Amino acid sequence: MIPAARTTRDPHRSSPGRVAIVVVLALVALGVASVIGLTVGTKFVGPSTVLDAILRFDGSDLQLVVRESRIPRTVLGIVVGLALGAAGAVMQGLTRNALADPGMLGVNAGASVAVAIAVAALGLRDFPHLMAFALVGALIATIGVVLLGAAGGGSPVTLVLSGVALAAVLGGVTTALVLLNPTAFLQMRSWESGALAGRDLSVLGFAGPAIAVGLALALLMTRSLDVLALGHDTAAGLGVKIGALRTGAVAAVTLLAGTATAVAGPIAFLGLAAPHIARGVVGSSQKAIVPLAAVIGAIVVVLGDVVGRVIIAPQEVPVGIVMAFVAAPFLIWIGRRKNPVQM
Amino acid sequence: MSDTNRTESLRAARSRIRRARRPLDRRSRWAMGALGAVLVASFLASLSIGDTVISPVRVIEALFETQGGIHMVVVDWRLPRALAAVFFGAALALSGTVFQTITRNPLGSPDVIGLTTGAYTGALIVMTTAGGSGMSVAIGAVLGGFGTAALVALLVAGRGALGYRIVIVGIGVSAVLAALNAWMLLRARREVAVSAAIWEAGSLNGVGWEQALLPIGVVSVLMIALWFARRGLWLVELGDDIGVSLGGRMGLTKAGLVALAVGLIGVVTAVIGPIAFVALSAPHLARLIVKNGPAHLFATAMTGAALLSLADIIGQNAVPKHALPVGVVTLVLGGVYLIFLVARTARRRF
Repeated sequence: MIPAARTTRDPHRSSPGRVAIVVVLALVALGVASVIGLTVGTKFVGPSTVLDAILRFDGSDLQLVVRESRIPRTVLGIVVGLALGAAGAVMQGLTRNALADPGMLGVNAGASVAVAIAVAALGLRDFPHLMAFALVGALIATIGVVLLGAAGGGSPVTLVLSGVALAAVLGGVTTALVLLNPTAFLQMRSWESGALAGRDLSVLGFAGPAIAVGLALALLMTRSLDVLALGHDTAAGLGVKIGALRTGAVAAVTLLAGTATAVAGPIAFLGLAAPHIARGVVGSSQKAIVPLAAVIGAIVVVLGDVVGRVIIAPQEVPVGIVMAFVAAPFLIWIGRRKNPVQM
Repeated sequence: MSDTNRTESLRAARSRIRRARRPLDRRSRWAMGALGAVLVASFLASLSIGDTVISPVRVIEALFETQGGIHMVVVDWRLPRALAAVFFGAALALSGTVFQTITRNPLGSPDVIGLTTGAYTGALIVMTTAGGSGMSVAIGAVLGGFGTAALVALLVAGRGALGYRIVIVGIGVSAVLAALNAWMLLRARREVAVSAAIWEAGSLNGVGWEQALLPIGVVSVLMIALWFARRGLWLVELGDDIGVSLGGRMGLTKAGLVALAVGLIGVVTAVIGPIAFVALSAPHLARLIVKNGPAHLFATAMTGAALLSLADIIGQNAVPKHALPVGVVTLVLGGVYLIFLVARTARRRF
């Protein structure tokens, strides 16, 4: 919003060397988180057993736990976290709004309502269909909220409130659909709480490529998003095609948030929190924020899933609920700042 | 504020209060009359429409009968529900107008800033730990609402007057509480979870005389109390500075008003579950009819009553053979309204 405010930030924070170090450290942290994700749970599984389960599978109970549960959850957690972290960063960069988050702006709710339609009205069950519906729903909601935000005069708070209102309407429609169809009620209830448990790695066959394309798009746009931070006119003057950038960003957010929602159910506020943490570490360059936010998102989801596994063992708390506890306080913190909207 | 400015704004405030006390102009009188007609029509409609449709004339006759099948349908089954819709709608709307005035924000309604979610949290805690029902759940809901109001107030206290700060913080608090609620539901026994999930949708289903009488009495008392506290509400509306100059003790006034408003929404939430957006939209719609003053409180209450009543009729009859909870109807309709409101007020408000 205010270019002058950006120059007062410490410029060394986004120097390429520093960014590289931070990203490497974040990847190491993700590695550690993954090891925790594979070993910690209702039953502790030693790292050697994990390795054996992968390399020398003998069908023992512990190895089965690793192969059937721990590995899929950890891998899907990483994928979902990468997607939501990057989606949040792109959304905040595009809207120049510190409050932007795919969950809060109704993108996940759009995916949810489309999945509810697929389940309740069409009786679909298999993942590829549900994912296709989730993507269409996410796309429509993303476009809708961008248009609504623009209709409100482009004010940052307007965008958020439009999104919250949109999410409320879509949530109401989802509830109505589900209440009218008891089978859908049961299926949607577990899906809606945002869970990694019981998901098969085979979903990656469809979700993996979609998220990979989304991540590639997001990373490709970081330079333009940085220029956009100087203001629309300046960016246009410097050769950024605003229309194309907006289209690309909507496509990236749709692919990332829509697919993540299809895999794990609606997870809100992670897309809000991860970019803020990244910004605190590497400063304000999107080039650094997008990849770092993605990795941070992955770390948080994997660890959040572990917390959900152990906190009330032998029962589980779905990762979506854990994420709300971890990430929603960020919104409160942002709301308490001197200027909540500024990035 | 310089002295001349202060006298100036004091004078303005006094004249505003005088204006507010003047009898309504022609247009407002007509509008109030129309609103009253809508309210009566929706009340009669909720008595006559259902599995069997009974003509309004027959409904009115049945109200004065003492026995018979029609009498049973109208008076024993439909009347408590219709009355509850009217009184609870009015209670939600008045709670909304108090909160919007105190937060000085058109969006600062109790459901947006998380009070209904908090009331649900309170009720769930009672349901899952004590396994209680009825009165204890209601008390839990009211306490949950108070706790959430206190928490949000604490979190925005001393952070400078930004109209939307309370909305942002409220959404955050609401999200944490919603997660807590979902977690409690997951851990709850099956029967508790099912009944809580139905209640969460916000429904007037199963509201008979037994469930309706006491809460209607309580919200009536609270509404009357709010009527006597209306002067405080104007003082708050005029701003702390002027309020103090006019002899108001603003801290105490606000605390008292919040207590009444939380009481209103807490009781309603306890009985029929969280109802979205009536508290938000009724004061706005009422402002189209009467701008401010005592008549605005009446208009707000009547609008809320008509809204909840109409939403319940829609929920009962929109989908053949299925009854949608009234909360779902207000969620969808109110959300659409909020979108328009945000798009319209954005330019001048934020």
